[in-house]
Amino acid sequence: MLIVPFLLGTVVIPAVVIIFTTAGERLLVRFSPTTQRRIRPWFWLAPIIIVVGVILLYPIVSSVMLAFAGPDGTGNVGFDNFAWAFGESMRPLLLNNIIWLVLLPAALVVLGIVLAVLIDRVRYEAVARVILVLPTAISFVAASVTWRALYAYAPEGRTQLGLFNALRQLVGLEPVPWIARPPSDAQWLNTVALVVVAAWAGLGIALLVLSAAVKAVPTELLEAARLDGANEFRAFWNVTLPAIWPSVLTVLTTQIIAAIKIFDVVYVMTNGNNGTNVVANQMYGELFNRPEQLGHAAAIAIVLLVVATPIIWFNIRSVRQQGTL
Amino acid sequence: MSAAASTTDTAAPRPLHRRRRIHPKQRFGRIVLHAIVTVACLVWFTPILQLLAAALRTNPDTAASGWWNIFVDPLITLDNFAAAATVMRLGSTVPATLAMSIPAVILTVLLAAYGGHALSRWDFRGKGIVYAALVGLMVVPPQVTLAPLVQLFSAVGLTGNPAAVWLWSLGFTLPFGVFLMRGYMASLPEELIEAAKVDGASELRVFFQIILPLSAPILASLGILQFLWTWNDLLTPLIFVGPASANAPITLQLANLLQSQSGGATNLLSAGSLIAVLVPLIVIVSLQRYFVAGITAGAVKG
Amino acid sequence: MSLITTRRHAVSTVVALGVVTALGLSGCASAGDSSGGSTATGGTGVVIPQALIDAAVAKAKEVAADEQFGGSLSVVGIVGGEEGDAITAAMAPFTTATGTAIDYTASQDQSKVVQAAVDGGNPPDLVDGQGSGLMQDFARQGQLLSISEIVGDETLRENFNQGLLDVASVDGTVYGLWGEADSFAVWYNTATYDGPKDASSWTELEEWATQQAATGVAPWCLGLEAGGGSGWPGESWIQNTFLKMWGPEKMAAWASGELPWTSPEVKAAFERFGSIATSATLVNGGPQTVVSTSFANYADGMFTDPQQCQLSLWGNYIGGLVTANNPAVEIPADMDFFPVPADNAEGGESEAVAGHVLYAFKEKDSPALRAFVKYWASAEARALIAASGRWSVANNKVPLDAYPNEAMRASAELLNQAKYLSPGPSTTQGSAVISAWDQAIIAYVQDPSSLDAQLAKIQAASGK
Repeated sequence: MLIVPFLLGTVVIPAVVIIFTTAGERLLVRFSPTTQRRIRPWFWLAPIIIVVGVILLYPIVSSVMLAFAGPDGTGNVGFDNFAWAFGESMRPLLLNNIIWLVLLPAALVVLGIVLAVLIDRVRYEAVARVILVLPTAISFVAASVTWRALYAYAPEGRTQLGLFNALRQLVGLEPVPWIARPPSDAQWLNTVALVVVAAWAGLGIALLVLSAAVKAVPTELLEAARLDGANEFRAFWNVTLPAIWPSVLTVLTTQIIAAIKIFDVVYVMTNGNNGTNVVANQMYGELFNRPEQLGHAAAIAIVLLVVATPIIWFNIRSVRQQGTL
Repeated sequence: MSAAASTTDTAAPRPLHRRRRIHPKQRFGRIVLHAIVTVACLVWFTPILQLLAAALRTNPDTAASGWWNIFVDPLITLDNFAAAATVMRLGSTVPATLAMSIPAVILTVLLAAYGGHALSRWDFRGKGIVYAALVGLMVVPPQVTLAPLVQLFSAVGLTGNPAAVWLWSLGFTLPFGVFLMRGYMASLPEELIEAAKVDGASELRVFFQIILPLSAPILASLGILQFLWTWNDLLTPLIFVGPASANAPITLQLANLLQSQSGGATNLLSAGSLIAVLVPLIVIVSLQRYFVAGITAGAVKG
Repeated sequence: MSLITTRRHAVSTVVALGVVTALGLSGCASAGDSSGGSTATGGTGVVIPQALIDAAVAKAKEVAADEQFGGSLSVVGIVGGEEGDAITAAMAPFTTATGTAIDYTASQDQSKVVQAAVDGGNPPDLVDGQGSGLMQDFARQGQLLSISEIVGDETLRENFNQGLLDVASVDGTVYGLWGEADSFAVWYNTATYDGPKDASSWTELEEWATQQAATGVAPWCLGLEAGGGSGWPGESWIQNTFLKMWGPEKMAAWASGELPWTSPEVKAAFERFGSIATSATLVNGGPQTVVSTSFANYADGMFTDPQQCQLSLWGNYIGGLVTANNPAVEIPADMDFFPVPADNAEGGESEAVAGHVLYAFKEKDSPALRAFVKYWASAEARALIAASGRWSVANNKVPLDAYPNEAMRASAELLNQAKYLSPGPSTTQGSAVISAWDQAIIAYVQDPSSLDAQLAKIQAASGK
């Protein structure tokens, strides 16, 4: 039962893909260099385009078509769904997404660069990397359990079961309801507390990518810079950072996108309560709760795409600037 | 950067660790370095430590005092691990989850490497559109794709098959994977490829014998990430494999621990999560060895 | 043994032995194992008497007319873990009698999974659903087998309270079979509670609560925090309050969506809940503590030293939650309950109920499926659920002595004695409304002035 799909995915399809490109190359070399240049990339991209077309493009297009449809996916309600998506009820959610957008990528890019460069220089590098990546390996259900416990709140004078409030009580401060501040308080700090959880869980991604990039920086360049009298910071600034810059952009882009569509952490920690709701969590409800609101969900998906266009544009521009090797 | 690289062709083979003789002036720097790394590791490990403490404590203890009391007033039980292991039915859930995650990892790494190579090495008409599509597709939340795919998969008879899960997982991660690979491969020195080209190597040889080995760290990174994502995915297996307990993934049983109305969920779930993280941990540790510097002067010479 | 550090002597060796056996078993356990056993253990260490199992096997043989169907039936449930094991243990005699294996999977995301399976043209044979909301949808689309036809309306009426049949019916035909059920009451610590136990009205209890608050120990315990599901303990509080204020007819109207959330009746029920939950003195710790305290721990406040609170209005599963954290507590010796006081006679004669509703898909019709439905409707099968000690069962024919302890017997009696069992919106409404309701409860407790806006949000989510 399990073995057939397993072998299909681990042996058969990889073999087919490799044979396909090999045969493609054999065929290509018979053409003129100009034609080769024009056609070759599409040979290499073909398997990707097929898979992504079926698994992502087709369902997205068919879902997004519903943006003008009513709740059950039929009829035509004009721009009603968009009016709702940008309306009064969605505004606080968009504001929360902006908090995510500012904090999460910044935190992860900075932490990721600093730690990727630093652990590269210690002998217990492997252990450090495992510890820092471990949270990424933990399921969101577990992350929710452990962080809700860390943030636990009891009124002043009672036993504090949460580490943070226990520490506050130790130094004589009032306990804080970290993720459950009431509307009369600064509720945006609830969202910040959730960003912390996402940063804890997501550092692994940034670190793995940047760690790999740091490994690719030619040692000789660093040695040369040091011989020229540069201190470690200068060497980092002038050699390492420019060399890993494409990967930094990768992390920045993926984390901005992660912040735009942030869902899991909010869903498991508060489900949007206490003023922490975000756009994708709302969409999840519109899509799966019954009665469903397919039109609303499609409109939100389009809003997410629109919000992301500057990032798409920025990425294309930076690739153009780098030129093609 | 490229000019500098080619002038250092004759440099000695680099040592395994970038350790140099420490000047007194640098001792302070070393202390700061160790302090930052250690503190970061401690902070990042604290929530895991809490899971471990909760898993080892009894329900009444967890309800009455903070987890750090395990160090002060220890009463340790392995009951939670035993109960969690029983409920999670590891004998069937681990093979089922591996059957979904391993194909996803292999295919994702292979195809993403193809894509990253094509987008970083060659200039061609339509590249901008491909690139914009990749970034745009990353923005779309996964939930949007589920309903239409359920119908598609059932039309082609994939419903209930673990292949439906790895196929979805592959498609969903590919834009990120290609994007990641392109970023990394773009920073590989072009001299390497040029040198190989001069030797008359074909495009495939350049890819398999130069690009792939040099990309080992990023391939390992992508492999680890894709493994973690498929291993921990709950919703997709549920939706695509559907209601059949023979193929139930480990996360489903883990979530079951949380559903019990009769309490004790925190301790059981902590134990269950630690059991469930063992396989990903093995994967991370074993792929660590690819995190060595790939580019040396020797490599440039081919 | 060296792994165990002993503080209190009781735990050590038992724990160590338990680990060895459990780890040994889990190594070779497969998914199907749990449904095959002949004796099952409830989570509270209850062993189901062999006599009950034999009776269930006999009943299964009877409804199957001694036929061996073989094959298997798939069931998608909502509870897994030990609770799931209690359910599969009650299904196991059917396998013994007919050779038909039961493949039970559970998921909290049941509605999504079942909906996806139906959309994909591959529904499971049976669903043991959370309430009747999704069942009603499928029944209206003509996708379900008629339980009226399989079991017979007369048998159904004899075995089940009319209130339960009503919410599981569409146009007079029953499509759902009530199974595991929860009853609701006001629970108290028998050693310390000195207030009224048979209050003739809510006001009487309220008066005691106000005096109690002045002593410094809060009269009410409440905690609403449940991660993504935060707010849900408030559902049962509000709908019990509603029932006792307005009676079963209005409850049915509210549950079906006829009576809007913005109506004065619903608002009044919210306000009575809010008069406690948003009070600084009537509830343990005040509203900030209410939204921050886990549902799993809040009732512990009855047994802390010093005591933090006195009463809890909740389902009968509170017993399991409290004893998990406080093993010394015996039920009903240390913690007992009284019915939620009613404002009028109608409210006094009815009790709110929530639970699981089993339904079968027409597309999967087979003799084995029909026999299973008959089996599941029988008192013999339900007695096994009762014996697990985890739920009351909705079937009147189940003898009270099937329950393993006094507390379960008492809460089953509460359901049996009620003239009308009244499931509220938490049972009948779809997930959009439930989710909006949970969020509204939290938002209301945090900001009482927002009540009207919150009620309007729930109404909007119902799509009406």
